[in-house]
Amino acid sequence: MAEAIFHAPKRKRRVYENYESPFPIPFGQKDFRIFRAEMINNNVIVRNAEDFEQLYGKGYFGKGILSRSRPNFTISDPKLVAKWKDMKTNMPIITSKKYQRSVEWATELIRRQGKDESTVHRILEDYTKPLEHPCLEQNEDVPLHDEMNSEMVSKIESIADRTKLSCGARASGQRGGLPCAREGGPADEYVLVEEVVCDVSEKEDAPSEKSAQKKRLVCRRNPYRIFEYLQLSLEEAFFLVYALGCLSIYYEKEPLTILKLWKVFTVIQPTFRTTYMAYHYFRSKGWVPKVGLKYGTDLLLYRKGPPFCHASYSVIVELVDDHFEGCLRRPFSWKSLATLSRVSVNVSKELMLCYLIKPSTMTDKEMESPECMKRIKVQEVILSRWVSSRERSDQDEL
Amino acid sequence: MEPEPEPATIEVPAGRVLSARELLAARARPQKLPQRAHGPKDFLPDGSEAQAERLRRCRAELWQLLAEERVERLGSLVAAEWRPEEGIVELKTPAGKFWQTMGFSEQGRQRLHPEEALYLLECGSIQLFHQDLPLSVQEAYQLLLTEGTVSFLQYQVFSHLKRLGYVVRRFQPSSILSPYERQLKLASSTQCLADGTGKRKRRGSGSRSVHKKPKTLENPLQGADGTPKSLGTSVPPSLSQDRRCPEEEPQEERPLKGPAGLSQPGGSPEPGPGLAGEVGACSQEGGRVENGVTGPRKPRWDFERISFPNMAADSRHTRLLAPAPELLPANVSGREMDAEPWCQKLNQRQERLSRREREQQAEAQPLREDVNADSEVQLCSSWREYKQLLRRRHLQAAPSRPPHLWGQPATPLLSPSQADSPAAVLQLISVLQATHLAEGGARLQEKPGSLEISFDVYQADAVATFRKNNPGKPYARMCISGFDEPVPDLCTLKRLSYQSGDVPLVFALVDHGDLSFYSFRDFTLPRDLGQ
Repeated sequence: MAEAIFHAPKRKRRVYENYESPFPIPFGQKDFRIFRAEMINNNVIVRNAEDFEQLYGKGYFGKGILSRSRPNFTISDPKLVAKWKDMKTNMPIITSKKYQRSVEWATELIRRQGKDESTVHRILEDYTKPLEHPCLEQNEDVPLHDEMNSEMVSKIESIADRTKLSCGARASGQRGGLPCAREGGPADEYVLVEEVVCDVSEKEDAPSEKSAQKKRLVCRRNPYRIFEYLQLSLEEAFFLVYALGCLSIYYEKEPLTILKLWKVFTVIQPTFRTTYMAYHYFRSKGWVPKVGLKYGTDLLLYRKGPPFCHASYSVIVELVDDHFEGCLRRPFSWKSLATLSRVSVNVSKELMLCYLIKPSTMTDKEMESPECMKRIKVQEVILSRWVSSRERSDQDEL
Repeated sequence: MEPEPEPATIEVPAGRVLSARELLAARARPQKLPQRAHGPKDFLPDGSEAQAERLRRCRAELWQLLAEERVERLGSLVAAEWRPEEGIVELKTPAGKFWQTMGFSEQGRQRLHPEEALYLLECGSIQLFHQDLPLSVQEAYQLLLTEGTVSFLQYQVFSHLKRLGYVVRRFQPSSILSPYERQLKLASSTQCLADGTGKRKRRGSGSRSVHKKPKTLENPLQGADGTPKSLGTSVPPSLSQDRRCPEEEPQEERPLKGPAGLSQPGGSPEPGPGLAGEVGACSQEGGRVENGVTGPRKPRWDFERISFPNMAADSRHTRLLAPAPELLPANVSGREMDAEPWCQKLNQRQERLSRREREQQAEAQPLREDVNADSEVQLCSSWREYKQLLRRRHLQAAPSRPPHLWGQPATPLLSPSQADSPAAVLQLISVLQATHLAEGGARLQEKPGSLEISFDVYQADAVATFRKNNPGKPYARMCISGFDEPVPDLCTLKRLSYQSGDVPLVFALVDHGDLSFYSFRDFTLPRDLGQ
């Protein structure tokens, strides 16, 4: 059968990022840092901000839990940022209403800790008072801040807990990883709140709505800080641990070994071994596989990474045995294949079927270790539609 | 002349010879096709009168078109007879223009396959008779498309492609070469033989020296050196005697781009070393490709079952037995002999490295360290101790090797000291091997009722030069299946692609008259270094 021709991937028109490195490891050095992730409720989460910046920036592993892909969640309102762009500040700018909501949530939290109302108000008043400049403030009010900080830290812990709940990671009773939050060192978050300046003194009559509302930015501390984490899919996490050796996964402070991970991940996701082998194969060719849920397939292959080129291939993975037969993960009919083909063509991707051929001599015991991959062969097949009426033009390929 | 006849009012019973008035009426019919579209497409039935009216009008036009009778000159129709017992159609009068691309000759008579005959009948080129009565189109469909001949689905695909202009022939399985034959470039030599004018270089005589022998075999392999290695498949560049032992699966499946000058030694008798059993004269009798139903008579050896003596240095069998006579051509005889003196004379030539290879060797020389120079290694008395030493060193090496990763039976594939460059990392983590569709295809068994290749398709612009006896390589081969049938699994794909050789395979799917075509093509993702 004739071979399919490789088409170079389409570059994106506007690229906003620089390409750093294919993997989050330094090249040419003897050592590298091992990142740390946790298993929380059957998901692999990386909490440390520096860690996940590295993991996403080099190799595009994972997805921010509050973002579309890169963990770049900020409470900043883009419209306000555009409006106040002359201020040239890095602090997020939010509306006064949003800030008030944060204050309310924080109040609720402290109240639940059993403090009486006056204490609650006092704490929050002090915490949320307007500040001139963050750096100056820290030097002056150190003792006050200590008292504040201890309460704040405990609040942060509980906030982190609730945040996990609200952000969908559904942590039920998982408090083991919390010390990380403190280590990660989230200092107080300073925000600029856009507030209306009331100039009651200037006007004698009641200020009407038509009076020009002057707004200015006030720097305050955010009492209800939302943290974003990086979530790694099981295949990505296993790849970082097994293939690169640059990640350690902890479960309740205990690091997990590779064999244990291989077993546990299979329990969580029964088809993990198949999908992992395909993932590993494509990573070892230097392509970036991401989840293919959007187009009905298993993987999408990007060259270099999602920000640079559009995905070239949309892959369906199957595991077959030595006689090239196997029970399929998804039984195909021509209709479903035709729909997948049309969808892929519409988004200019090629539909690829990836068959993993397992020798029949491989025992179940061998499959218990990721070393079994050395005996697996990979067959890639491209499915394309041929239009019969295009006979005299396109002579290039079938 | 008669007044202008009205076309609509003249009814002509079918099969009749027309009078002059009727003929003029037929000629005067409007030649334009009705419009296909009457306004924008409606996606859903909305039960309105307007929509129903539009539908009715469309249908009426289609019916009118279909019901139109065709008028042909009786003299220009070729008479043909349907032979149900043989399953073919025989032409009674000489064939017309269609003979260039359709039909076949057998014992001096011109014949057509059922699908070709039916297509020509629909075109209005032939008149089909059965038991001396002409067949109507409907009768022809019923009689010609039976279980034993061609199925209705296959006919639909055939006629669709023919109407688009392709040349469609029945599948000729014997024109396929096995991968081994391709490797040895048997195609070019059979071509030479078939034409009868092929220049056979190195037409050896009996006194050919043995030194020439390895050289002729070296050619396809040196060609392999030149093939780009970008896809990571490795081809052993040096010639060793092992290469002549085809009991192992040939590593390089794709046809090599080497010089095509390999000639078959079978043409001349080789009473010398028992190498005559090799390559042999498998193409000697072949070459005459007939287009009949029975197929050519080219003998095909299954090279995987013929055992060649192992002449390698590791297990030298220099006492060679006489080869089996059925493997040799008619005028060649083999005998038993002792190849020892010949083997001693082989490989005395210096290996000539290219300049690049020499440079690479020179560069690597100072960097290579002798592992035995290490004192700790010298203390190891067995392989196991050496491995323990390595493991100890690994663990002591760096803090970035936590015991839960490195002290276990399964360790990460990459260790920090090995991460020199992205390319090196990719090399180390590549543990899964890629394979090709052609591998393993030969040994797959056919199951009853499974998909088969039906047609060879040639492109329309090849019509002018199309020769039925020597059609050349098809543009594609067709496998036909209904839309509701299951998708072919990898087993079927491999089997069919093995049968198809290096011609692309297309699956035609028929869904109540609608055809769609899909192809599955072999692919290997290239390595991307991200620069």
